[in-house]
Amino acid sequence: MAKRTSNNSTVGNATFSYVADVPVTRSTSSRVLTDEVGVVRARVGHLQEDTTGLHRDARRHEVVELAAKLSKNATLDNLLQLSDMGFAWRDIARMLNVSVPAIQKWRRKEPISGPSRGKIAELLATCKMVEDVYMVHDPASWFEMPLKREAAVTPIDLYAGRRQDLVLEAAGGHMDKEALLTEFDAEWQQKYVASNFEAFKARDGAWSVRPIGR
Amino acid sequence: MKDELEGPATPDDLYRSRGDEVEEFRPEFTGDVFSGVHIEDRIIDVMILQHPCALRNGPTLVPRVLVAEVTDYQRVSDWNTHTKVMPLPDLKKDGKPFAAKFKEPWLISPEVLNYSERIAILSQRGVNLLLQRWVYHNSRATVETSAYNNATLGPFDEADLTEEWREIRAEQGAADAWAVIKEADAWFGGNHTNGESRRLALGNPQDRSSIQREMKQYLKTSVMQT
Repeated sequence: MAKRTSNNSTVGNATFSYVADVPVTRSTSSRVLTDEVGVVRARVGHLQEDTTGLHRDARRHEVVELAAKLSKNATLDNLLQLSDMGFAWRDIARMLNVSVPAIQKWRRKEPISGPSRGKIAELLATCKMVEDVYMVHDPASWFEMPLKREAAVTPIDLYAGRRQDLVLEAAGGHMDKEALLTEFDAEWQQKYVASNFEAFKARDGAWSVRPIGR
Repeated sequence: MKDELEGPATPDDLYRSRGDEVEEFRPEFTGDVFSGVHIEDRIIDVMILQHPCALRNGPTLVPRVLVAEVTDYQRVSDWNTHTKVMPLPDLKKDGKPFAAKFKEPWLISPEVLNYSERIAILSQRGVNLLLQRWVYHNSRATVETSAYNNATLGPFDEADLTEEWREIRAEQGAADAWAVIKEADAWFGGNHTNGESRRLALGNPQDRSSIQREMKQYLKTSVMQT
């Protein structure tokens, strides 16, 4: 058995420092301790994967439910709600994977297909969840923010890339940003991180371009 | 590779609108393609090359607008080649490839454009690709389109919002188009809440949504000064 004095324990010639009591049923050599912690860590990892999947499924269900309610509104009303939030028509078009002229037609109350109507409701539902559940103030502005300062990937890009689940992950804050970007695109560091030039505000206040590092 | 010219994922990615979808109220912008432009003794199609920030004095176009002739061209599959043109695949929605030729630029009076027909407006991605290729043609410097995107976001957003401004005023019955344009220009030149003009504040993506909401509220509650 381990003998404990303050935060240390001596077994034979070995001394261990404790962060938490480890149930001792057999020899507590370093190797065995490492293995036991490794097992616990693996279990936590599997639990993390399972709960992540479950959480995403639950969120998806919530979005679908809310979208079903919102789809009863007139399409124009839903589009105007998105515009009133502050989304640009071109970004709404991008997230819906339609052209800007298609949006213009729907704004003029021209006919819309059932699936397109559903997509608009789902986008609005996602935005409402970001605002109401995850307490993001001004969601339209948040959707424009890069997930990481140096990488040009925003929640708009995630949604347009058909990763609505990652939009909600970003809003929920449970996931490391780099892991989120990697899940979106494993090559994000090559594709979305500017390596040579950057935009900056020149003396006249206009945004200009210069080599990075100047 | 950061030193290679970029291309669109699909031809449709280049365009905001083409043909009969081209919006009447959208201000002229970099990348716009006009058909039936009278230059010397010819009638040709042209594309505006000028950077968005260099295109206007207030609400009016500059006295000389830099354009490139647009003609039919071979299909370009590798955008890292044919660097003396801006490929315009499926420009007229008939599958045929066109291109704006950088080696054939013209300086034209903006009034000339009034007598021609705008047949295409580039998307933000299209404008960024055009700027990348135009700068490369003139300097052999490759600048990532993301850098152009950040620098041209403000003018692009102002063009979007001005279009919407004009639509809303038209719905409200405003008949004088030029008065509406001047009204919008003055409003965007006005102060934003953080002290700089709304026009400059649009350069920050996080400010755009609040400016859009402010604009819509203003248009709902204000009577246009005529």
